[in-house]
Amino acid sequence: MRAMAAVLLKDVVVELRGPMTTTALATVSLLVLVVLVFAFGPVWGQSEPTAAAGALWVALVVSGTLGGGRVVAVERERRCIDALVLSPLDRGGLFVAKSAAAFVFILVAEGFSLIVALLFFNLAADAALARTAAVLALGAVGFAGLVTLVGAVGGRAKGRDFLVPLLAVPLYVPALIAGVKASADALGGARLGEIALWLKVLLSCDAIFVAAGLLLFEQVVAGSE
Amino acid sequence: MGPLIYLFWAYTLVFVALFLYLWFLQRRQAGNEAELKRLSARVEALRTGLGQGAQ
Amino acid sequence: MSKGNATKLLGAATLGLMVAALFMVFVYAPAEATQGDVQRIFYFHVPLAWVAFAAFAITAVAGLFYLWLGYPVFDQLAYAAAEAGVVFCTLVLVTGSLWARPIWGTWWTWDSRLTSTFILWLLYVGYLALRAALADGEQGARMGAVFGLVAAADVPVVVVSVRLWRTIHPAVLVTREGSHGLADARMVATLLVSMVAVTAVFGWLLALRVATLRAEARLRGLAAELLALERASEEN
Repeated sequence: MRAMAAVLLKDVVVELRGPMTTTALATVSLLVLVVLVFAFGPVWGQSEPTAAAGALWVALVVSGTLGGGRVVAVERERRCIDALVLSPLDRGGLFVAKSAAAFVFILVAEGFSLIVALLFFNLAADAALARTAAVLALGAVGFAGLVTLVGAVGGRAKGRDFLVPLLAVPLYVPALIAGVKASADALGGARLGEIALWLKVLLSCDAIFVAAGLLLFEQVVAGSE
Repeated sequence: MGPLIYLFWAYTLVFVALFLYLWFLQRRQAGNEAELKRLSARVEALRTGLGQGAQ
Repeated sequence: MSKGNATKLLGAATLGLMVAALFMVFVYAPAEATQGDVQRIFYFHVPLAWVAFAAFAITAVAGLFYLWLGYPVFDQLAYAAAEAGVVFCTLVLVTGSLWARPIWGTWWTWDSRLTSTFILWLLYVGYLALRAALADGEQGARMGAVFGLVAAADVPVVVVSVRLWRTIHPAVLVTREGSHGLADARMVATLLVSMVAVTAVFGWLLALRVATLRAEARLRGLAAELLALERASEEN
């Protein structure tokens, strides 16, 4: 547990010293939202919950694949992966620590996009927005695990940056469907009980990706030199 | 276009695709086998050469 | 040599089955009452789909065995099945589209089955991209197995979520594929023979693909051996 926290803390401290990842992800999210406002933007003064929900999930996918996919790759570039693999932390723990770091990065970028979307799509800062934020956070758990695993799987390949979205997005489809629907409903004023079905789908995705990471991360980092 | 002709083209498409894949695999395998022969002959030649050198 | 003969025998049997299946599809089976002759595309569409799904299941199971036991043959089987599966899955989408156009009046619709099949196709195209990007050998095999397993675990959730998405969404099409009802015994027989024929084609292609992967693994071994021998002979 302490070793896990240490690895997570290390990533967070590196990020705090020079916030490269989060600023880059926030900027990319901003650009995504701008493009989507051009496409589906609200008429003067009107709020567009469906378009806003879609935009937020596009931002999540883009920032997650860009940023989350790097949390393991960066250790390879810095040649620190062996030290991590040799550390007393078991592979499942390493996976948890790394996806927690990815989760933090995604969450920061997503919080930023939520604020931007609030302005761009004329949303109200009310309980509906809070529920939407909860749905997004729930989706981010699974996505952080998924991109960490997939980023490690494709980490040594040529063209890694293309590979991570190519592998992660189709796997994430069920969560995307559930997440977009649940956020649109939540922004439209639905209570959590009314979107329970979609939340269950999101939870099962989280469970699958985290379980897959815990079980298979060992295979992915084994023999990496 | 009658439905039977439409159907004929649909099936043609399926078979052309399957045959192309088959052809690609067979060509690739023929290349592999030729390369295997060539490489094993060279390995054999080098081995006997080395064996004589050791004696 | 016996292996080569077996492959040839399988090839000949497959060709024979194919001819029989085609005869049954075009001549023996009666035309369907509402859809007419276009319905005959279904006799290959369904077997192609069954084979594609079976192929992806093989990829997952063989990948699991590879991670467990480590024999390269399991990985070769997994890779070969994924590649053949993508070929068959592409044909499923194409034949489905060719069927949908005259019956539904559109090439593509986001029906739950179409969407799920399309996502499945995307997943395994991703698998092939991963294998192509990674070097051959142990690393690629293990990463492929991991991805194959995650994809297989994901597929049930994809199917459920897509179905939920479509049922909650206003139904665009009332005519579903439920019009499968094969009224005539000759239709059932035709479907069965096509099923066997398409499965045989798949088996044949799969065996051939595994053979190419085995040959390529041996080639890599020989090339390494050759390099070592050349170095040794230079030192002498």
